[in-house]
Formats: sequence, structure tokens, C-alpha cells
Amino acid sequence: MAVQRPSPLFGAAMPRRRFLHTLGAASGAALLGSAGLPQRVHARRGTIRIFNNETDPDTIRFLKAMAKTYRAETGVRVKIETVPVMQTTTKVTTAIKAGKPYDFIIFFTNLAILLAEDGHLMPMTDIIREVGVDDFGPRALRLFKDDYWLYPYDYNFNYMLYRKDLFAEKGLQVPTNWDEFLEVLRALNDPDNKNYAITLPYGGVHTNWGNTGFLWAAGVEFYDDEWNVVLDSDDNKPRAIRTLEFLAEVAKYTPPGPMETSLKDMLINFSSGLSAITSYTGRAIHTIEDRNPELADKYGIMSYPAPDGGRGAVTYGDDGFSIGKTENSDLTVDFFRWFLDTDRLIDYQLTVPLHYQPTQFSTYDNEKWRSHPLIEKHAEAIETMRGFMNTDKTLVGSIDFQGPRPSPNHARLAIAGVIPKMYQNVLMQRLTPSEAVDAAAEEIRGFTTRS
Amino acid sequence: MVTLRRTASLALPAPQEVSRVGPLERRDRKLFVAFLAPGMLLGIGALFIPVIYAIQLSFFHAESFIDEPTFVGLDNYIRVFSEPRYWEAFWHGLFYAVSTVFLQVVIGIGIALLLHQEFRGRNLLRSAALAPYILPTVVVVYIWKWLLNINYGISNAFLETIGIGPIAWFSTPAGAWVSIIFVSVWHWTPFVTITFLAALQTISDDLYDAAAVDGANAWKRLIHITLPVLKPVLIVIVMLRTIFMFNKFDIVWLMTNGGPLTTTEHLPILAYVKTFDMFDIGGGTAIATSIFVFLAALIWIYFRMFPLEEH
Repeated sequence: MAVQRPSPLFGAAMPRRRFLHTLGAASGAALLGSAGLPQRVHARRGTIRIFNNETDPDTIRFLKAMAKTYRAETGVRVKIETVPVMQTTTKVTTAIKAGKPYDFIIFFTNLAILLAEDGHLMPMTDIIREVGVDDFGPRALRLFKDDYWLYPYDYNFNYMLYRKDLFAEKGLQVPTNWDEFLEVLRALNDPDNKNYAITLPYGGVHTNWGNTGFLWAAGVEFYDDEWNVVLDSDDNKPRAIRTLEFLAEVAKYTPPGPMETSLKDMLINFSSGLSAITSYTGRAIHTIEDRNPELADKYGIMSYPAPDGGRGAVTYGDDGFSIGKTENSDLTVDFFRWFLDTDRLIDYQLTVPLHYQPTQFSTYDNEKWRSHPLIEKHAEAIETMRGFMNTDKTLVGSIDFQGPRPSPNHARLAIAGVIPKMYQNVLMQRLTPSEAVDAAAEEIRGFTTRS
Repeated sequence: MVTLRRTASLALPAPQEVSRVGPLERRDRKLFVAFLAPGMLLGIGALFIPVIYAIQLSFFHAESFIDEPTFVGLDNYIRVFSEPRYWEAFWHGLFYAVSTVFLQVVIGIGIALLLHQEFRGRNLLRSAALAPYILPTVVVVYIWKWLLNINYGISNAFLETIGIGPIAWFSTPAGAWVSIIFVSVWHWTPFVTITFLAALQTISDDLYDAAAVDGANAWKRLIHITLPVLKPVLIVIVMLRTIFMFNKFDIVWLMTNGGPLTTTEHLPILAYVKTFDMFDIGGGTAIATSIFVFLAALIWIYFRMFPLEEH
């Protein structure tokens, strides 16, 4: 007769055989668990972790549906982690530090180059060459150590949107220089009736993208090719001072509190009719479509005019895909090829079609892309956006293009808020434009590294 | 109390009974340690390791978390202490902590005294007074940012109707400070209120009755009975709130990002900006360590000045 032991959990008697079986099974499971069998089983099936900093709900919805499809087709699980764009660097680098790097990263060139430099990315060169380097527009691809590390899908140009109907009503032409621009602002501004000429940001990190077009149009530079700060050089300083004086003048025609203007304010003020001009990407057109469709045929797009006419400017702010150097790299390359081969890239871009401005010429001829109702409806705007890819006509400027190569200096220059601080010092009349330029140059020298 | 203790000591079991209880206590102690160990280990893992790691990083130069750090000794400390921005941020933090704690305590005690009175609907009002505290900070900040918005905020709409404004709250240093301090006080005063209210409820009515018989008016009762009883709570509250407010990151960051310019930037924001935005890991962690040291010293001085009575 079997000796029975009381169960430690329930107190009831348990047969010795059953007790030993249970004990054996538990020990076996513990051993297998500690030997990492579950992980190995998991790895065979494969899980690709995607870092995504595109927070548009339609884009996230698309990525989730795509993940489901890919798993159904290949058995590979795709896990998407969406993080706001401003937290990209922190999240991606700390994930690497924590030993859990992302397999597929949706972000921007500057960080991609930094990761590539430290050996955390797979080169995209083969894939990009297969697609065709010539298919990509100017400045979309950036070569680093003879390889491409990011597959760009969105130029993210910041340009100006204006109300064509109000221009026509006042008999105004699209300005071609700064004097004309100020004339236009004077004509459009009617603060007594809460109608303002323009909404531009003068504070916050978004100012680096949302209100730097005039700096590039004026030819202002921050670094030379050896990382020397040239903002206050004899050559640059007069241009920088002129831009600051001009921007201080422009601020007189904005809604009150331009230093508080957020990206959302820019969209809302323009789509609601509070201001006649703003700067943004095609997302502003989406906002018009969503909030005030009556304006959908009453807006136009223009570049930032140069001080004395000539080539206008737009601000660059790219987005793209990279593949991390992880144990899943091969799996991720397969996934990305599938993504391109099945036209998922086009589907992805069409989640916010007017906002994601394609970097590939072929996309503009792609039937699926062209036939999207919003692309068809806003064909004129699309043509203007495409025109910005012509560097003979439009100057493409950015903090990221300063200095000899991608560097943490760009991120410091952006996130330290040197440019908005320069604007604010002038707007708050704490410093003269000349002093503001000197202070900015001094600050940049303080954090610039040449390594 | 003393009498009770004496009674208890008299009631202690005989020595032989104590020795019989001893092994049981030892066994209980082992069990106690076994139960405590996971929590302790988790605490050490979650608290001490990051703190030690951060202090360690402050002696290294690194341009990102994936960079190979190089040992630089005290260079980071020398560098950040020689920056005027550090001292500006330090004084901003002190100003913020002192002003918000002062207002929270004064208003908190005032509300606690009111809520301690007998009146109809008191329980409802007590619950309502707690509302700001139970809201997540991010919600509080966004609600107030919306209310204070220059273009569509209800506060400016109101100010315009009475002929003032609109006021660009976040465009001037004074406006930004007023906004931050106001929201911080609004959000955290209920914590002070509820703590003082709890302390008030421990005061025996007999004391007030006796004082009233002796002819003490309401003011004297407040000065001689209520406030002395509240003193230990006040000491702890002021210390805790000072630590919290000096370290308070979220409200300031979400409301102003330390701006306009750097006029509302305090040390926690500067530490964050240096570490995560300017990729100066050593500099940022040196600032964070300096906050830790400063607050530790402050607590020590504070308790030396206002020692808590044992009973």
C-alpha cells in the first residue's frame, strides 16, 4: 500500500507516486527553463521588435495590421513599440545599453549615423542599391563609411502654407523677398477682429524645425567643415542679425504669445482661420480636411523667401527605416524586403499621404499612391512639394546639415534650444540681435565636440 | 501611557517561560527574514543600484549611453559647478521649493482647520478638497495649460471680458513662475490638508473645553493647543514637501520646459537636459548627485534644528 503524504497546499493526502511525478515534472520544467529552452523555441519562431516614433493613429493601426499579416504569412512575430519622437534617442540608446536593442527602427538619419558609427546597425546599402540610388531625391540618402544606414521614406520638409483666398481678396502676390513678406503680413493682419497674419513658433525645440527656414534662406551657418563655430564670424553674423531683426518684425503679426506657440497651435490657428499663414508639412492639409474642409481648396504652399529674392528655402527633417545589428538581423532583413516587395511602403506612406512626402521619384508615379483620393485632390500641393526636391530652385536647410558630418553636435544644437533662445532673447528685449548671436555662438562653443 | 507600560512590564511572564518562547521567536525571525528578503533584494536592485550607477557615471565622460565612458575624476563636478547656469538653476529650485512649500502649508493648514469644523456637507467637501491630489500630474498640467492658453484658454477669455489681458502666461519669466507655482500649490495642497486634518483629529476635545473654561479665545486655542500638536506633523511635512518640490520635475517640465529661455529651469531639469538632450552623461549625473548631496545635507541640518520628540 502506497504511503500517502499530506499535500502542502491543500492538506489532503497525496499518493507518493503522484507526488514524485509532480516533483519530477516541476524539476524538469525548472531545469529546462533555466537552460533557456523557452527562449530558444521562441527564437526559432522569431520576434522582430520595431521601434516606431510615428505616432499618427492611422500609421500605428497600419503597423499593427501589418504585423498580424506578417505573422500569419511567415510565423514571425512583429512587436511594435511606439514612442514620441522627442524620446527617440533616449529610448533607442538605453535599449541598446540594456541589451535589448530594437531589430527595426523607424527614426531619423542623424541618430542612425551615430548608431552606425558604434556598430549597432546593419548597412542598408544592398537594399537601397537594388531599389536604385538614383530613385531617391536630393539629400535623401546620406552615405557614411561608404554605406547607407537609413532607408528614407519621408522628407518632412517644413514650408509655408498660406490662404490663397485671402491673398486674392487683398490683391497680394506670393512674396519673393523679406520686404514683400512683411508687406503681405501688414495687409493680412487684423488683430482687432482676431485675424492674425502668421503663426510661427519662437520657443520650444520644435522651433528648430518650425521656424528656421528664414535662417537657411539667409544663408546663416553655425559650423564650418572643421566644427568651428562660425555663427558669429564676420561673414555670418550680419546675416544672422538681419534674420533676427526680421523675425522680431514678423512676430508683431502673430497671435499673442509667439514664444508659447506649439506645433498644435500652428495647425489649429491655420485650419481655424485665426492666421493666414503658418509653417508645417502636409499634416496641415490633413488638419484642414479633418477640421475645416471648406479651406481645402483655399490654401497654397510656398518656400521661405530669401532676404533679397532668389532661391527660397525649406527645412529638412527626414524619417526613415534602419535595421539593428541584433540576433534577428537576418530575420529583419527578410521582413524589410517583404515590406518593400509587397508595396507595404506605399501603404505605410498612404496612412498620412500628404504628410509623408516620398523621397523616391518612383513613388510620385506609383499608381496606387497617385490614385489615393487625397493625393488626387491635392495634386497641385503635391507638385509644389515635389518642386522642393529641385535643389536648383529650393535651398534645403537643416541643423543636421551643419558641419562636416553627422554628429551629436547637431542634436545638442537642436535640443539645447540655441536657436529659439536666440529668438527669445531678442523678442524679450533682453539682448540686441548682435548680442543674441554672440551669446548663441558662445553657448554652441561650450557644448561642441570635435571627436 | 507610563502606567500602562508599567502594568505591561509587571505582567511579563516568568523567566523560564521566556526561555521557552525564545526558540519560537528565533524561528519566527528566520521566517521574517525569508519573507523580507525578496522585498529587500528588490529594493536594493531598484533603488541602490541605479543610485550607485548614477554616482559612478558622474566620474566618467560619455557622450551617450552606448558610448565607451572614460574616467575623468572630479572634472564633471568642477565643470558644472563653474557654469553660471548651474547656480541659476540651483536658486530657481530653491525659490520654487520655498515658495510652493510655504503656500502649500499655509493654505493646507487653513483648509484643514475649516474642514475640521462641524458643518453640513463636510464629508462631501473633504472629498472634493482631495480631488486635485488624486489627478495624475500630466492631466493637471494639461488642464491648466489649456485653461491658461493665450489664444483659447478660458482664463484669458475671462480676463479679456473684465478688460485685463490676454496674458501670455508662459512668455514672461514672472508669468511662467506664477503659473508653475499656482499649479504646484493647487495640485499638492490637498496632501498637506489631509495630513493636518488627520493630526487635528487626534486632539482631544477635552483640551479645547478646558482652555475655553480658562477663558482662551479661538486665536489662543489655535496658538497654544492646535499648533503645538501640529508641530511634529509640520516638521515632517515641511521636510517631505521641500524634498519633493526641490526634486519636482514633471510640473515644471510639462508647463514650461524650463523656459522662457532658462528662467524656470531648476536643477532636475538641467540634469535631465544635460543627460538626455545634450548627451553630457557625466555632467548630468554630476548635477543629479549634487542634488542628492544637497538634500541629504538639508535633511540633516533640518533635523538638527527641529529634532522630532520621541513621544
